[in-house]
Amino acid sequence: MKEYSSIPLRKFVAPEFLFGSGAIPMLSRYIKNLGVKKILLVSDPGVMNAGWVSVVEKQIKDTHIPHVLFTDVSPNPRDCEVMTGAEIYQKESCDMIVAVGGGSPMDCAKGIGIVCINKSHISEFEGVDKIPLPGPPLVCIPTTSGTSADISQFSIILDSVRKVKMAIVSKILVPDAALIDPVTLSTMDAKLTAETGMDALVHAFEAYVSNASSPITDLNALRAVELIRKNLVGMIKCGGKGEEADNMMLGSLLAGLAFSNASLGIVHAMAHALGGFLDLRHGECNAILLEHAVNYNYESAHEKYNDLASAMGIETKGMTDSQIKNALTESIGKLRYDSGIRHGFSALGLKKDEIPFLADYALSDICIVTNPREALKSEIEELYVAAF
Amino acid sequence: MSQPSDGISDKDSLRNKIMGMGDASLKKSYYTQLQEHVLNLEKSRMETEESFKRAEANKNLFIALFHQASDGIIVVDLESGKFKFCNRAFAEMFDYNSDSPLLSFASALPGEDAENLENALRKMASGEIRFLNNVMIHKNDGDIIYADISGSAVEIENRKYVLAVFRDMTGARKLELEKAEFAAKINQSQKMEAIGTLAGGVAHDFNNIIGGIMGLAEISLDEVKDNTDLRDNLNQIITACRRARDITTQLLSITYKTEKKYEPVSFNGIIRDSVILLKATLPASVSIKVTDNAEEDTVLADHAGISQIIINLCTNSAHAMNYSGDIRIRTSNADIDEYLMQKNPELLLGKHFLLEVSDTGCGIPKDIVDRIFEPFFTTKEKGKGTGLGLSIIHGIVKNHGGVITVYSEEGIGTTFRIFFPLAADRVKSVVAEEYNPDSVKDALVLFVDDEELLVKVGEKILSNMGNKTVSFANPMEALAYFENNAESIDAVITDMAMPKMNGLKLAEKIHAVKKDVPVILCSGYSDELMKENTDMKDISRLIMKPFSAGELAKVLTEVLNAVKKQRAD
Repeated sequence: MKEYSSIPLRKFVAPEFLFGSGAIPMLSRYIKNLGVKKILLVSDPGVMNAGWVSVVEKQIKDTHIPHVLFTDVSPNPRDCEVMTGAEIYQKESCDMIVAVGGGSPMDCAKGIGIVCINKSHISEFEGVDKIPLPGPPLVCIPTTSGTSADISQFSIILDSVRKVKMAIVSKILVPDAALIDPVTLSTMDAKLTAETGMDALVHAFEAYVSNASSPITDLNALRAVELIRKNLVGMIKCGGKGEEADNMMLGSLLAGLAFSNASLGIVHAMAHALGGFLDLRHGECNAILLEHAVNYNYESAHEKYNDLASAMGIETKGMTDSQIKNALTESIGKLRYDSGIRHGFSALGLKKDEIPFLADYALSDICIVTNPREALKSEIEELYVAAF
Repeated sequence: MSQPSDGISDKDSLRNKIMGMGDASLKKSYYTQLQEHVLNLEKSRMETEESFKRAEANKNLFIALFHQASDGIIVVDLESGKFKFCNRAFAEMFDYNSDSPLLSFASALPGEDAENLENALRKMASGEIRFLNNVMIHKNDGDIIYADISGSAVEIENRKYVLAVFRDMTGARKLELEKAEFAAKINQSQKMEAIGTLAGGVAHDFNNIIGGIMGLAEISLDEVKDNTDLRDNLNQIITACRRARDITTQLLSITYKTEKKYEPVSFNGIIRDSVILLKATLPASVSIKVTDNAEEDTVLADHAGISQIIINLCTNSAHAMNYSGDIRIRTSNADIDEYLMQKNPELLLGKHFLLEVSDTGCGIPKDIVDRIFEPFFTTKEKGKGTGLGLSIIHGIVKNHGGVITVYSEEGIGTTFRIFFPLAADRVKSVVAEEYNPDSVKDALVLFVDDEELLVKVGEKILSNMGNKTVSFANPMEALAYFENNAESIDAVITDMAMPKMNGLKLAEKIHAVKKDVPVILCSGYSDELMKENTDMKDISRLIMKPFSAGELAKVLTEVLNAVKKQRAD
């Protein structure tokens, strides 16, 4: 009898999720089964223009349960938006939240829920396991194939005073249900598709090489990389419809399941700093940083990166690690370029003298903890410069 | 980066937490909140149960209070007129029992009263009035009750009602009336007593003055034997004095204070005699009918006083009827119990003889009926009446321990009722004392009175009779004289009220010197004797002031004859 297993102890948490065609109409069943009295529907103007808000509202109306719509949410959701939503929730005596959209409305909805129940400002919950009580029932309907906020334990909220992204991490944040229907991807433009797709790829990469990864997360991460690599460009080309979109939605889901449990790494830490300071688009930042981070991390997790290289379609057999690393970073760069993201941070308005400041923030970001290589500030600064 | 004591770095610990391995990491669950909610529900259920129990206890308490209240309480639906609640006191007020539930005013009261009450309550509900005093309510059985009613609007289960409280004032009202009546009677009797005392005091002074005038006139009469004119004048003065004396005597009788003999007399006999006299003096148009229903008629009384009562009352009645009509005299026996005594504080417990004198005359106006017994109160023209008649009757009745009441209705007539306490013994025949009218002569009389005028009168009368007098205005000097000349003095005449030593005391001192000297006591005011009535052993006779020469001669002769007879024995 072995005295102990060599497999390290891990937890895997995922919400109940419905994946596939017809997931959205299942919303009314959830509302009825929960026996709620009033619903706060959280979304953003983009999703509303795409028409998904009215699709969801129709489902809610069928239940004859009243609802209030809240759509004042920015691409990087702010603390003040969370508090405003919470005020509406309480004023209207709501007892359930439905979020429809990308990462922004879903992260905001998570924040609103815990603020209402715990009666504290959203900044009180920054960090890991800082939420005493769970929020009200939350059902998420994703309309992008990237963020996976609908299944994750993360909520990233912009502290509008400090200009930093607060990471709120807790299993309590995992929604009650996710209704994932690839049909929602049909309304994304090419840019958003590219950004969210690349974001999903980074989720899979970072989760796979994370020092908190596990066989279960690895399985999801590798499959996610394969699906994204094969379908992203095709999906952009065919406008978010067809098999590529279905596969991208699945890839995003699998990447989400992986990173929600294994967490992320240096790319997200650096992207959060950029998003907070310059209000840059999250997926875009991730896309620009990934190849540089792989280059930097490779030595610390070369076996895992070799797996990822295989998943990226590289025939690694007979290649040296150095060759694989180069092939991998090249393939990532090519995918980024093919999906339409062809610039560095200088094009997005970053100034070189801001880099040390950003590096400080990246070092203090929660995502840095699970990066396979422990980074120095100077190294992070060099990475920003490399991606300039 | 610092190392925690358990050897795990901050970074490792954070990583563990991110993986969900932290102590506080838990998948979203509402179980804790649900548990708390269930606990709160249970708590609130218990609180509800508790508050229900309290409400129930309160309800029972208020129901008990509602029914225990001595005032009648009802809640009435004004739209339908039906009672929603009615407490026990209200039910009792209107004599209803559980067999015939009281549903509305209409079921409890005659139509008009029910309607009036409903209207009153409607006004109370609207706030127009809050309170009604002494409302007279006829009940179905004919009884009348008086109630104070207060009320206001109340809302019960979104319906408007009026809540009214009925305080039964019937008993209180009766008691109040009785109290007022009683107080009026006490007042009247106190007033009468005060007036009587005043009149008595005045009469006393008058008697002394009249005594002087009359005495001197009598003396002068003897001295002007041949002057006919002067004699006539003096006789007229004496006659006037006698009349004045009669009035003061009557005044004194108002105050119970006259010295009268009270003997058992047959009241009906006096009535008979008086009626004979009345019939002779009143015109034939006045009829007097006597109904005698009294089984017992013996009253300890002064014959003349009773006769005066009957004559005065009947004369007044004849006058009131303008000398045409019926006077009815009724007698009966009345037993005064505590109830009657309470109603009339002057009455005494026990059997009474009741004399009623009624007429069919003009009656006495209500506003003066209380004053008719006051002295000098009269409705007759000036000069036609003294206003003393009824006050004298009142005094005589009081003197007899009786009570007089009057009931009169203007235009119908007047009835006087007089209650006399019955005497314990039946009437016995009274033997009149006989005396020798021949006046005594040659006696030496010691005469004592602090009024110089009366001393002179006394001296004159006695010397005119042929007697000698030694007079003193000071009783101490008189006693000193008697101590030195006791053997030569045949009789002593002394005033009662004197400074330093009164008549009784003087008589006692004189008898201490010599035992068989007769002492005649003069008094103008019987009150003095009432005070001293303990001991009259040293007094041979009492003579009331003012006395005439004849009276004094008669009394003196009687006492000296008695002494003579005693010595002879």
